[in-house]
Amino acid sequence: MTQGRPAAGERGSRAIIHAAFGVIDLLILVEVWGLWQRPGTAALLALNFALTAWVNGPGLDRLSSRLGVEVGEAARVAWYLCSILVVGHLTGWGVASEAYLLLELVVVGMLPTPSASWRGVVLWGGAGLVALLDGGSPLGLLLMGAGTASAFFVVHRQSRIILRMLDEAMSGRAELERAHHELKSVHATAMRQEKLAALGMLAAGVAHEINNPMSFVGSNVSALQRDLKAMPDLSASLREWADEILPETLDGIRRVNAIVADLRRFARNDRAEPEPFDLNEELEAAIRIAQSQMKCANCTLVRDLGNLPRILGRPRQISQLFLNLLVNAAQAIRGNPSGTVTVSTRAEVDGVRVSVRDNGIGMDAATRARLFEPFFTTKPVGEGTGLGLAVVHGVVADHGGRIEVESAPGRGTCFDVWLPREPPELPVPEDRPTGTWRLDAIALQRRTAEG
Amino acid sequence: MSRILVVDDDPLVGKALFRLLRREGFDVRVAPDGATALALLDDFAPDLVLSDQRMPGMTGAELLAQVGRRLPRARRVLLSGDAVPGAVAEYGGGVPLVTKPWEDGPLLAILRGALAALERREGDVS
Ligand SMILES: Nc1ncnc2c1ncn2[C@@H]1O[C@H](COP(=O)(O)OP(=O)(O)O)[C@@H](O)[C@H]1O
Ligand SMILES: [Mg+2]
Repeated sequence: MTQGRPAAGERGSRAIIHAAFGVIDLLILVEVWGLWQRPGTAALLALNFALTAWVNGPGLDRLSSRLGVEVGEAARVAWYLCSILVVGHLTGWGVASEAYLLLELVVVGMLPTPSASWRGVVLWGGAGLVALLDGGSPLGLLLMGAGTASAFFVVHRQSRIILRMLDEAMSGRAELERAHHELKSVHATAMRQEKLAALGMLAAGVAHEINNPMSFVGSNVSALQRDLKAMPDLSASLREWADEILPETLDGIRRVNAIVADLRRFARNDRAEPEPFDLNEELEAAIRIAQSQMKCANCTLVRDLGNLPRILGRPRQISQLFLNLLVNAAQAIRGNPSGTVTVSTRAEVDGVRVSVRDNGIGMDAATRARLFEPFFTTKPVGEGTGLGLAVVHGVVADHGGRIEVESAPGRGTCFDVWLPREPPELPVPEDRPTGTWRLDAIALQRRTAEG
Repeated sequence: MSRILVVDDDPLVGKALFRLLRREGFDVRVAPDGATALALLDDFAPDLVLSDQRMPGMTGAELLAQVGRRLPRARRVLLSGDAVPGAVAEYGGGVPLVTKPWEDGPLLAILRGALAALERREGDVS
């Protein structure tokens, strides 16, 4: 914005300038009318009019755009000085030349840069000096000087004020735009979180409602199976029930229960106060549970655990996070004799970094794009619920951490989790009618896994 | 024969628990809510109260707190469908928490364990 003249109204003010110069040209013609006996007068005037119009119009534009505004404006002042000399000399430094100088100073002062003041002074001083030497009257010159100088500074100040206002308006607009963008992204995040929260509430409610009937369905069916098994002589069809149909039914019931359990974890009703914990310990607990669950004999686990400071957070959630990553990794290398899962932890300046890497099946771009979505799964029915990574994402977000994924089909996957030493503020789930107790699922599983 | 009072607002859950426990040789009564359960306390004098957590009127935790005051010798176990299945944790004051859906074996083991502790203690006293 400091380059060139303000674009707004450019055309209009240029027309006014041309018109003003035209009027003064006429004035000069009137003043010198009848003095044509001096040789060259007419030619000089004609040349001056033409060149001035050209300078005010397209001539300087081209020069400025090629060599810069400063050079263009310097050329303008040089030309104005020449033309004022011609006009002043021919008119004997009368009213017409005063008006001419005034107009020229106005044009020079319209440019709102500090250097315009210097150009105004040069033009004004130069014209005054030459006028004195050329025999103009000192009093007239003084008047002309005072008038033109004040005109110049009024115009120049005015245009600088306008420029500043314009700048302010522009930066105000930019700020407004930035605020608007921020608001939009905050809104989007809030929407997403609200959606997830609503989904979590729904999941928790549904899980509770399903747990009740599932509890007696499961209990009754397993009682039936026990009774049938205890009977000595069953008909062939009842034997099929006892040996096949009821075990399959119970398996189905267990599957439903597992899905509901995942839903519950997704709803994350953990109200625990953040506490300091050793992340390596939680990782070890998750590894033990994963190993007891996966029963994968041939998969290799490599630990590369660094010395970590204790960090603040909800250790149960963190343990669940790693359990989910480990289960996925173990599933990805299943049936692969050289399958390896590598877990590593590192301390960083303001947090800790954990990565879980596998050399399993990997993911294509389409899977990578959706993997954190609740219920997104590529695994067969009964094996995946698609909630594991949704839980992971939720826990990382709650702790103010970051998670990154690198994966290529056939080459493996690496989940990289960064957690801050202190989470900003862990969200507490809304009070629910169930009271304030909470569970220690991992702790229990840990106890059972240990002994 | 140990006496167990089952409290659950879902009648089918109550019936399933009733059959399961009776079959295991316990003397069982079922109450559909906290108020009914409290009214039964003096009459039935249960050795153990197994209560659901989320019920209309009085929650299981509130009920078990009152049971603890009125019948200090009774063992208490809380049952809840809100918790993560498979988990059993201590709910305050040494009250075990069993989650729904329960598995018959582990549930029975917890109940028997609680009753055995009661017997041991009363055996010591006498
Ligand atoms: N380590 C991994 N290797 C390959 N694919 C993975 C890995 N972890 C996650 N995925 C992909 O992301 C999907 C979602 O994972 P998740 O949310 O844990 O649900 P689930 O494991 O129940 O399918 C998986 O179905 C799988 O396609
Ligand atoms: Mg998974």
